[in-house]
Amino acid sequence: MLIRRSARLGQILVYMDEPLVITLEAANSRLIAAAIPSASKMDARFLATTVSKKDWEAYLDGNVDLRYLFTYPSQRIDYYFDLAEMVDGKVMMSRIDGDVPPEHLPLARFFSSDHTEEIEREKVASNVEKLLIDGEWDMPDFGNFYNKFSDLYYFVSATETFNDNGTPPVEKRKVVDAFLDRPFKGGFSYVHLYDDLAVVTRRSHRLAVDKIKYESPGYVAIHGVNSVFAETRNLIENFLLIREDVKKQQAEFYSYLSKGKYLQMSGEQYQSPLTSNKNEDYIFRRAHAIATSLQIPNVEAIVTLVDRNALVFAKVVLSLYRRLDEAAKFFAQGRMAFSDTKTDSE
Amino acid sequence: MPMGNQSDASSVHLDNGETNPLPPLKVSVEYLEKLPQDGGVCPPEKAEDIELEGAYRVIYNKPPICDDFKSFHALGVSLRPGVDPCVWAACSLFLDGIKAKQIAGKLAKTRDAKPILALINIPSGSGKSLINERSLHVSFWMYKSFDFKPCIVELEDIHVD
Repeated sequence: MLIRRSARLGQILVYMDEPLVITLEAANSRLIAAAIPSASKMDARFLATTVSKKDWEAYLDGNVDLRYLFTYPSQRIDYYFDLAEMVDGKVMMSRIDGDVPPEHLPLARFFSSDHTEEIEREKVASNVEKLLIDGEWDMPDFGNFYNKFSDLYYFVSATETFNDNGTPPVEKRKVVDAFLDRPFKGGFSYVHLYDDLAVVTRRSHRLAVDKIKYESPGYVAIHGVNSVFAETRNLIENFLLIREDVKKQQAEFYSYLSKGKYLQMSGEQYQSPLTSNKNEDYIFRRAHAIATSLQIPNVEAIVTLVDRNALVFAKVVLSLYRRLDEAAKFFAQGRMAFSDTKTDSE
Repeated sequence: MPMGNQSDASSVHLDNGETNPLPPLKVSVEYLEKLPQDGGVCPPEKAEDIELEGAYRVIYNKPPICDDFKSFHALGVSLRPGVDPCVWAACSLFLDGIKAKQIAGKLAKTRDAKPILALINIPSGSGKSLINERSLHVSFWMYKSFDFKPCIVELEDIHVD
């Protein structure tokens, strides 16, 4: 059965004598379309595909190429349409059920930097944190460090965003949803919470590697927001000072949660009236004590964000502990150091 | 000229002692294509008659033919939605050959047509150009006198990996 759907023309992204790559807007979805060969010059046939917000941002940031959008995301839906047949600002697209012929796909490594037309976007964060690199680094080391550092950064940024009276309600809602969604479900890994927090962070607060000088000594310069960098730095520097004490607290508390079978319990299960032995006061107090030792900022905001669920709060604090432990290790090893030079990008 | 008046190239002295500037000299040029004027001035006022040394045009014939330098408007293709009618009547050039190759070689429609990159030097007096400073795409409106043949410096088949 031929499934057809209408869409409105969004923006031209690539123009060379004619539009070659454009965006479209349909109900609740964004599409990107690239011109394909036509039998006649009068036709303007395009291949279109739906693009998630995350993939769209990744494409505009240059993290994925155009071909990726047409080939990789499993949830995408592909269509054909003819731009020359647009009526009242709308084109009718025909859904493609089989494979798209390779001759209709863009080749690899066509990036958004190859566009001819500019897209209005919120600017990236203008502050730059310079981290100094020394010693020997294996290939995966920097990725490991950057993952943990960015997890800490995005956590602080999200709680700051939630605490800020000037944050629009829609953005606060996104932070709330990130905390209330997956941590309350079974089989959940806290990796997903940090991924979600990175996604909901507005572009002007996002981390972006500005420059890397892979030498010994070298440096990495990262775009971000100064206040969040300062809190992240404080977390790491404080952790290096109190590591032994807080490690004992963490080990005891982890053992308690493990013996009580709380670790495999979801937030929803813990909340359920059917769950006995919640020991809410104890779990909350122990988690709060670790959060205080770690100098986690905006603790009260975190308690609100987890809907005052003591177990989810405890697991969030322990997940932050693990990330701090791993990030701080690079500083303890002497391979990473904070620079006191603060700069703004040009 | 009235008696007692002296004029230079840019002004006229009147009998009452005042000076009136002459209106700017308007040189009427004829464009190769009939340009649309219903959507505003075409070419736009920002477009300039300048020399373009080291520009690139993606063409599809070897040796190049006149149609390789015509806009879709001139080729009789109806205006596409979302496109400025004046830009539709312009010939796309690039000041960045790599960008031109990326577009022509990697996008399905242009790739299928077996594109050729023409390096061209366009002397001033050939037409008006509007340069997008960020993307280095140029909309070029040719004067009737423009002849593409002497402008071509080099042709290169576009194959990209």
